[in-house]
Amino acid sequence: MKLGILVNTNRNFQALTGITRAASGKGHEVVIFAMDEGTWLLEDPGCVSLSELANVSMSYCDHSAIEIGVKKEPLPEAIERSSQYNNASMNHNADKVIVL
Amino acid sequence: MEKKIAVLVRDRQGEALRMAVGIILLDDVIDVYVLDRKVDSSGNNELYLETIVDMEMNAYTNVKENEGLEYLSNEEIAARLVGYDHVLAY
Amino acid sequence: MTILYLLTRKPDPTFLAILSEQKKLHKVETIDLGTNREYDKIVDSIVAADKVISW
Repeated sequence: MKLGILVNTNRNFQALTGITRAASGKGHEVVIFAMDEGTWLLEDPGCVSLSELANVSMSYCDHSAIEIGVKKEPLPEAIERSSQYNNASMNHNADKVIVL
Repeated sequence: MEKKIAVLVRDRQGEALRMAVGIILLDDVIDVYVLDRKVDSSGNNELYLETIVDMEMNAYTNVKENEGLEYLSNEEIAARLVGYDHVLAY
Repeated sequence: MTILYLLTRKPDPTFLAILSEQKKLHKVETIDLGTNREYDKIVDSIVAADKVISW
């Protein structure tokens, strides 16, 4: 399964990490796109570390991050600075999409 | 293959509508459902709705006061939602 | 059809109305992500469901 996770709040960190780690561990591909208040999680090392997991890719809406004022300078290259195009791509290609 | 996606616009209307307009980039079918509230005319909401009309996207609501959007009951919305590949509740 | 709802907030009247209607025709499962931490099982439920809707 290719699982898309749209992260548009910073209220579901535990579910985000738990589901991503469990899905990755089972060999599923996970695509995470953060926008709006979800970009706050880019300041959390626990969230950033998800990009190191097997089969996990992460990107975020730079427009949101700028609007909100997220500190994103130390982000690893594996987390792609992006736009709604990546959200469109995630939705186009994923088998299932959840919103957290 | 083309996907059918429903965007449910709830309390954060501006970002939900911005996203709905943004994810049309890969030519999937994007339908918008404004739920439980009148559309707030502040910010860019009206511009996003104009874009939704211009792009010939479908826009529905369960609030009769939302002029320009097609009214559907919750029962009709429930039946429609099972027809989408993805439902994005914002 | 099996529909899985993943709840991230308190159920509201619209959700309950939609759920009630869909239960007439479909098998509907609900998981509260605020309390359920069994993520291996949650992923299995996501895989198994025909539709997954977060609310």
